[in-house]
Amino acid sequence: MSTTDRAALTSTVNEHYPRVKRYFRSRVPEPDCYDQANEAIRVFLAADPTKIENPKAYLMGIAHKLLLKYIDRRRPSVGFDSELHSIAEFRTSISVQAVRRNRLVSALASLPVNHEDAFELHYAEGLTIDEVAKTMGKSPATVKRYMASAKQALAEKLGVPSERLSDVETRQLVEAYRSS
Amino acid sequence: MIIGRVSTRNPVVALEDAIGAQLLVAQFGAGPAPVVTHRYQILDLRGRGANGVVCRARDTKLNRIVALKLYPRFDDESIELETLREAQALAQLEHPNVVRIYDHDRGTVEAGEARLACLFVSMEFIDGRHLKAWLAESERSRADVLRALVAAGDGLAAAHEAGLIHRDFKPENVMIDNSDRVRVVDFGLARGLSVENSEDGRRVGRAHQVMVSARFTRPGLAPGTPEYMAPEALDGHASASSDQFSFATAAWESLTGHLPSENDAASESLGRGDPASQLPTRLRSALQRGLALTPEGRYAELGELLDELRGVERQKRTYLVGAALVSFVAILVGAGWALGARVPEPAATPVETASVASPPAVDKCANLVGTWHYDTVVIWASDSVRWHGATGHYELEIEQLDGCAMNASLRKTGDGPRHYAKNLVREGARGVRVVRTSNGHEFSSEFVIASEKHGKITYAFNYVFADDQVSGDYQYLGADNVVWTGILRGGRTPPTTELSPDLRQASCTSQCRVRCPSPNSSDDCIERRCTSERVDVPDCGPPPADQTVPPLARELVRASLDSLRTAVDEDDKGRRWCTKAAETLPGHWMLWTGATVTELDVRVSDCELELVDRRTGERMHGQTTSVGAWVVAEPNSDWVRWALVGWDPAFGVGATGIPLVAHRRQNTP
Repeated sequence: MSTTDRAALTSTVNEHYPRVKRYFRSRVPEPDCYDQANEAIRVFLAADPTKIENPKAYLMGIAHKLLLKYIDRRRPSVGFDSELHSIAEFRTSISVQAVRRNRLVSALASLPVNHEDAFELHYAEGLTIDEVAKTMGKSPATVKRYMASAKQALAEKLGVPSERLSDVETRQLVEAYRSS
Repeated sequence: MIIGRVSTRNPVVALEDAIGAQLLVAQFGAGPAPVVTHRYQILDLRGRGANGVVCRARDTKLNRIVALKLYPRFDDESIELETLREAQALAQLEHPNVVRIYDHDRGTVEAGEARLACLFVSMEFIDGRHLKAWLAESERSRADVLRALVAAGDGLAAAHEAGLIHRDFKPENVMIDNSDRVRVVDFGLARGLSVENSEDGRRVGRAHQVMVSARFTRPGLAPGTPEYMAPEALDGHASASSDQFSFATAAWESLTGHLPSENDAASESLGRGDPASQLPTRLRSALQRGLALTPEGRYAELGELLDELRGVERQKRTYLVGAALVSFVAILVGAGWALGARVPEPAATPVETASVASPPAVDKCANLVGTWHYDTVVIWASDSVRWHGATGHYELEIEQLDGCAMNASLRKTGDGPRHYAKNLVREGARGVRVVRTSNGHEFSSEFVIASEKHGKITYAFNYVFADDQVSGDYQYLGADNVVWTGILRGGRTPPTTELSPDLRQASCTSQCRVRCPSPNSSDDCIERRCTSERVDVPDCGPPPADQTVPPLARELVRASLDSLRTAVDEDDKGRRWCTKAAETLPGHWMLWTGATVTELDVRVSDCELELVDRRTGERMHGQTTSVGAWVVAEPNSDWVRWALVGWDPAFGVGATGIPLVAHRRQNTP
């Protein structure tokens, strides 16, 4: 590998690893979360970069698919449906969740995977609605519905009407997620 | 990349990202793997806690795999010194149930172009999973879960003795390796203080001022894991007692499947559907005490809680009668104390765990390694008097794992006097932990032996090893709920003299276990009676409230002597055993009926029994049955008044349902 290629690879890994590691840490127990993050990066690096319009969304799309595969392997006797099922049972333990700075993050854990992903990809990872839709292979309208559902769950946790879930509170949530 | 001290908001996350990214770069061959202090080559990430990151690494100096805990450097020197001091204290602690610390110091993580100052602790790498994952792997018996918890508790207690507090005990910090050895990890290093970034980016410590939202509804934040933390620990006053609370919480969760609520911790009666209601009373009470909201309400030391749990563990093995036993009806015969040669033995004191402060005692566990040969003899059998005196021959192989953690495998080599079976059956190895007591080295274990003739049989052995001799007692749990109890004796070579069914040749502890019909009463017997002045246990005292009565005894109290005589007359083989029982029964007996004790003289003629109350002169009559059990009839009646099983001891029930225990005193001349 040439020096230039090494530098490019290193730069790409350093840029994307924290995001994808964070994504899996909140969904997959240790140490599997690290393996999944590594696998997502590997798949990403194997792709033709000239065909990737939005690297961030593309990578998160890979991560989303790997997550669904991981969950499906863990519960072979039941067909996993990301529209219906949450992954609360596969998460890190209640005790680990409890040390998160903001326990409201755990409110998302009870939602179906797609709803949680849509919320976090948009608010925490900064993807636009369209980018989230592309990542998840859904329509923008569906993504909006997912996000509304997630906001509703958070608002209930806070004890306020969902339309009153302020941007400040949403940002706090995002910060808590990013620090996990 | 970042050079020097990590300056992002969460330095632990930044450290994790730096290491994880560089590992991936190395896997692509685009750069070197991250290293620590030019010595530890990081192989992969294993996890992350509130204060540090855990990696698997290779110690290139000693060429071994280690677990490496990395803490970003603090600007507050006092915190660093405290962390290193605690690591040093932990490194001096050698205990089979505590992870071994190899090294600790300040260092530097080199991850690509980044140089990150850190503290590192190098420790034993445990190839296994934590307790919660172990529980989820497959269904575990309560005994297995208790054993794992007690082992973890032993490690925690040893740390307390060394002046260390864990501060974050929970199932995720109990590792079980692939040979089922249990070790406590992640001791309280760098805990007790929350760490934040000051405005100028320095990493400073601050004693936490707020409390966490926890199981007992305290709002706020705190280090440690709130779900398992004691109230005073949430207030910043962690102690060994708060570790006890955490242990009890983890134990409760492991045994019931859910964390204890405030209701669970206080309630004496639980709803029928509550999993905790399935716990034995003694176990539940012990854990509830450990869950007391104040240190004053808990045990003075964790060791006391562990003793209770060990008692429960023994309880499962030492029950003498269970449901649906084939039991004999026995007539209680008063007899005097059995006199004869007494085997002098050292005083038996409550079992002491191996002391961390006395390494030579721990090392001598190695003396148990190798092959032991011993014989067993049945003292009491629930199904037939014919098993009284039956012998078995065994080989026990002991292999040392580490310190007093051993592997034991059992093989039964034969039955009967000097009869060695051609077909040997073997049981797989069991991990055991040897403890040092005043009697020598001891351990207890269950073994399942597969036999073509009898199927799977469970043996629960209690061994004492001293001076190249092995002794102890055992329970055999066979098919159809048959239970036998007996004693064992042997050494490094097969015994050459036959072991007689004389309980007096067994240790005080073994006598208590065989004579006392419930684990509570046997523990009480051991504690009160096995002193340096006392070597014989003639009786166990009144039957305890939790004594289980043989179902057959219950059936026989509803029978008549006429029917029993008929059964005996029609069964030649049964008559033989009836006669045999009659030969053994005459003498002076003590009968405990609840709290009342009656001394009886028993005389036997054929299978007919005559009993005389030594105090009142009252005469009673009775019968032995075709399997040698005893009944005594109501006065002026043919209906059974008492039904008992066994020859010293004997267990049974009265017609009113009151449990009975009988012990011989002396043979009639």
